[in-house]
Amino acid sequence: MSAVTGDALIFERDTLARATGGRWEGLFNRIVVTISALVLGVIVICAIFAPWLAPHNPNTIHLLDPYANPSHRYLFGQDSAGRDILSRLIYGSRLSLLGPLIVVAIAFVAGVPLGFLAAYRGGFVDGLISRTFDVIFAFPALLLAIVIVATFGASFQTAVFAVAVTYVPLMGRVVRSAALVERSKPYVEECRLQGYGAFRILFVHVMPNIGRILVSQTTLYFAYGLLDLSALSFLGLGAQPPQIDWGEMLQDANSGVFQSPYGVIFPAVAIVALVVSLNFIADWALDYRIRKENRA
Amino acid sequence: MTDVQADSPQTVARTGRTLTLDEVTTYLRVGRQLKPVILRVDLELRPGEILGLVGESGSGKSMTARTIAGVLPDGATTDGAIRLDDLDLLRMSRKERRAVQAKEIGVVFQDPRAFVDPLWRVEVHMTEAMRVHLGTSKSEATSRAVELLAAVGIDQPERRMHQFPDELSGGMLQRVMIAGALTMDPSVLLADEATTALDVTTQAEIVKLLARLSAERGLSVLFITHDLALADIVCDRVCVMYAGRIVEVREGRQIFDDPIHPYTIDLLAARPTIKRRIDRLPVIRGVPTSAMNAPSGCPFHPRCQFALEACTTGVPALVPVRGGFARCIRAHENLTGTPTPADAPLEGG
Repeated sequence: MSAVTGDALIFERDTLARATGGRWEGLFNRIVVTISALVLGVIVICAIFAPWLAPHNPNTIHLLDPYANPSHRYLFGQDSAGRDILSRLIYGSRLSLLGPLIVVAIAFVAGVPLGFLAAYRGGFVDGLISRTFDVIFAFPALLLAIVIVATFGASFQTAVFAVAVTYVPLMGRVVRSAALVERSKPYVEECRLQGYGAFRILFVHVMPNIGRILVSQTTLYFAYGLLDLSALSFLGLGAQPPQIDWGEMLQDANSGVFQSPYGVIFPAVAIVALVVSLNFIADWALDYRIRKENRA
Repeated sequence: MTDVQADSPQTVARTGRTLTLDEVTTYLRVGRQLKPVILRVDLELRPGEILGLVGESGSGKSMTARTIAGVLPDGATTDGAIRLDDLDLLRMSRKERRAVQAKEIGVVFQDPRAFVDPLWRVEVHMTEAMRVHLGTSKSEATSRAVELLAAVGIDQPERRMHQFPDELSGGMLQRVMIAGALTMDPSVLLADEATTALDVTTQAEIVKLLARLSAERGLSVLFITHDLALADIVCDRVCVMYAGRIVEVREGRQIFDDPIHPYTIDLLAARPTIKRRIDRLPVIRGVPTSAMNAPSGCPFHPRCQFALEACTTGVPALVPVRGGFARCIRAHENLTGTPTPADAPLEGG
């Protein structure tokens, strides 16, 4: 009898350990997620309260101090035109957050219904949507975005639109495959038996059931979108001066990297910190329910 | 009329409907071919009746329920007629059929856990159909749901309404599913192995519940099971299916006391009993076959201990015998016997 109980205990502990990755890993994960959330929080606060937080006007030029090193007046140093890097970083967070936000919003609003439609209808409709996605996928995302920007003229709006176009199929495909899995589940059959329409089944029943995937993917695409938009800005195809985003700061600092590394380091660190934080948070979002189930 | 009902709350306010299957054949798409899973099935489910549908795995009993409910795999087609009184479900638009079925046909499956959306509370599961189809107000739908939960024997129904499916036991959840299937006050309930996943005591309670609902509400129940003893207990009439065809239909206990079709005879002989002790249960030689792989002639003939040369050509018709129907050319011969042992050679197979 005791052997059985012992086995059961071991089994339970193992299952728990697998789900949470052991006690120390669990603690480590929690710390990492907390730090990520803090980083994200700081950046969001910077974006919202930029005028109050920035020590200087981000566009005031000091031609006598190009590439100045950090000083007590200019904590992060000055860029090619002597502008305060810290202030530009703080103001830059606005477009660097807004851009990817709009990208994922468009990707979500267009991608989710298209993915649902493809999965639920199947057949010709699925073929049409999936093949269209394939065509968009056939181009490297950034290259396609560059073509779109080159066609419509470089601006922040065009860059956001161009990147969004490449993210709709990403989102759509993930939603399609997740919805295909759900569609064959008995609870969806039950919904059909109850006579609910496709719209209700998909948005009231299927969508919450793939919620974790949606949340984690959206977070991930936000991070990727930031990278793509930064790349476009770096190439001079995104935000145009006097608009500031981190990619544009990199582009500006690029030519003077040997005079002063600070103009490159700080925006680069900001981008990496935001992307990495979002990745951790996306991961956490995906695991969240598993952990919750285990605790119950 | 009112006083009559008030005097006898047991009688039902509504009149049931008759569900008729007329030569219903369902094909599934396998690769590029269409293969039959049920063949020319004739059934009549009378108001307030519990009709048992028994058979082995692959005999087509579940596919019969799915055909009636209209939830078949992609690419499946159905011929024949499925009538609810005079309404032919197969001659309607998808939308019409869905509306009629949502109202008239409730379905309960084997695994309640899989058939309930795990992210919504019992409350939503119970009230959604009423609110969507009838536009019932939230409070009205809630009180009816609570009433139904109480009717299927759930204690503290108000509290259950606020729980999530994973907080309920299997038996409890199956009761919720049955109550959920009754929210639209259907005339027909399809119970597809509805008690199979439950333990024996719970099984007995659910079966009793179905019998009570049938008696009280005039609900017709198509009770699908592979458990002969269970069918014996609840069913007013029993249909035996083999290889997608109905091979025997009998009233009440007849089928257990006096089976006609060789398959039924063998099937009953293969049951364990507490009345006598046997070392080894007789088995039916060969393996069960589905409609897809059925041999020509009577689909049972390769396994049949009474098979004749004539059995290999032409499928026998369902003929009336001794107050029932059987699909066997020797149906009138009063066949009896025990199945041959498993190691006996199999003719032609």
